[in-house]
Amino acid sequence: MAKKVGTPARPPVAPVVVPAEDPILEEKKKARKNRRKAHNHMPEAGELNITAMLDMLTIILVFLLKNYNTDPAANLTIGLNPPVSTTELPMAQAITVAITRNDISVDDKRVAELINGQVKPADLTVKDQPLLIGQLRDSLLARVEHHRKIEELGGPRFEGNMLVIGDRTIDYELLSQVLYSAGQAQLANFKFVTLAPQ
Amino acid sequence: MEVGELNLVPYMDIMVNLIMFILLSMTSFIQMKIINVSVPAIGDDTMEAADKDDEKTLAIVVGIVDKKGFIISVDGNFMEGTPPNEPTIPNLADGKYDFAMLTTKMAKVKSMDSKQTALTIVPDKRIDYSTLVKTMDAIRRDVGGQVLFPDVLLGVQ
Repeated sequence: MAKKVGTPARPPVAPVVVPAEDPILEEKKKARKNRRKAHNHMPEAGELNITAMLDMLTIILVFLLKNYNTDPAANLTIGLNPPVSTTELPMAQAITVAITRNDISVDDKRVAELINGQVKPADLTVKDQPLLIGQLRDSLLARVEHHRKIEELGGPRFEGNMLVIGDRTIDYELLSQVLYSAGQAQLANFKFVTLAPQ
Repeated sequence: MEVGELNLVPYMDIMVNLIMFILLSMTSFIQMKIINVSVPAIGDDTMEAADKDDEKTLAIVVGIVDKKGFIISVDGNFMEGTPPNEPTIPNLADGKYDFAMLTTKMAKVKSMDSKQTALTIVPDKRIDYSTLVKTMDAIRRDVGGQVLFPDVLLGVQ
């Protein structure tokens, strides 16, 4: 570089040389561009058609959402572990009463609090009926009324069925109190929900 | 033309996320079954009426005594072989209930009246729900799979 700068004849040469190389460079550049273009266009040519996949996903989503709410197993929470049984009767839909060691809920709505799997004495206040849990009966009566109205309006026939999802550790005393209270709310057919053996 | 095309990729992202979320929060993979149970209705004489209709109906009661075992009574009498003041089927040495023996005994009761499918279970207050369900399992079918007593009526002491 120092030599070039030092010679007086060279400076005009340099600009002459550059334009002389231009066509070649241009060509090279063009070729490079073309290559790049071709490279960039490659994936577009092989692009996936995701519309069909989207259709599939939408159908799966609708199906899952439809099952989501009606699934009684959705009631299973921590502290609610049903017993295992060899029964083969399939699951049914009905008013659901879930019993854990901490509370009793009717269709996911908590109605009575329990202390270590026992009903609080304050909740067993109905005279001459030591097994009756007042709030549970009232809540079940409201649900029965609701189902009867649906039946009157042309809905499915209400047969007084009740699903009992109980934790495997609860005592029979508590279970009998729940069944008695449900009996007072005109429910007569009980279905104990169990897990199939693995 | 390409400019006007809808970009479906973000939509697909949402879909995939939603499906993953729903699948994970669903518990349908757990197989659930039911056991039908009845309780005696207060002021209802259906049981007595049924007894009158069919004179041969046996009144079978299986009692579950806490930490002791099972008591079986047929028509108000303890089942043959029941020692006085002791359960018909005492618990095993390790304190567990003898469900296999219960099935065997119930098969014998079934042979008294092969048409009968109903009985009453009267558990103690402190019997846990799991033991009750296992008892119902033990009396539903015998080892060979033959139906014994699938219709259970729950009683209270």
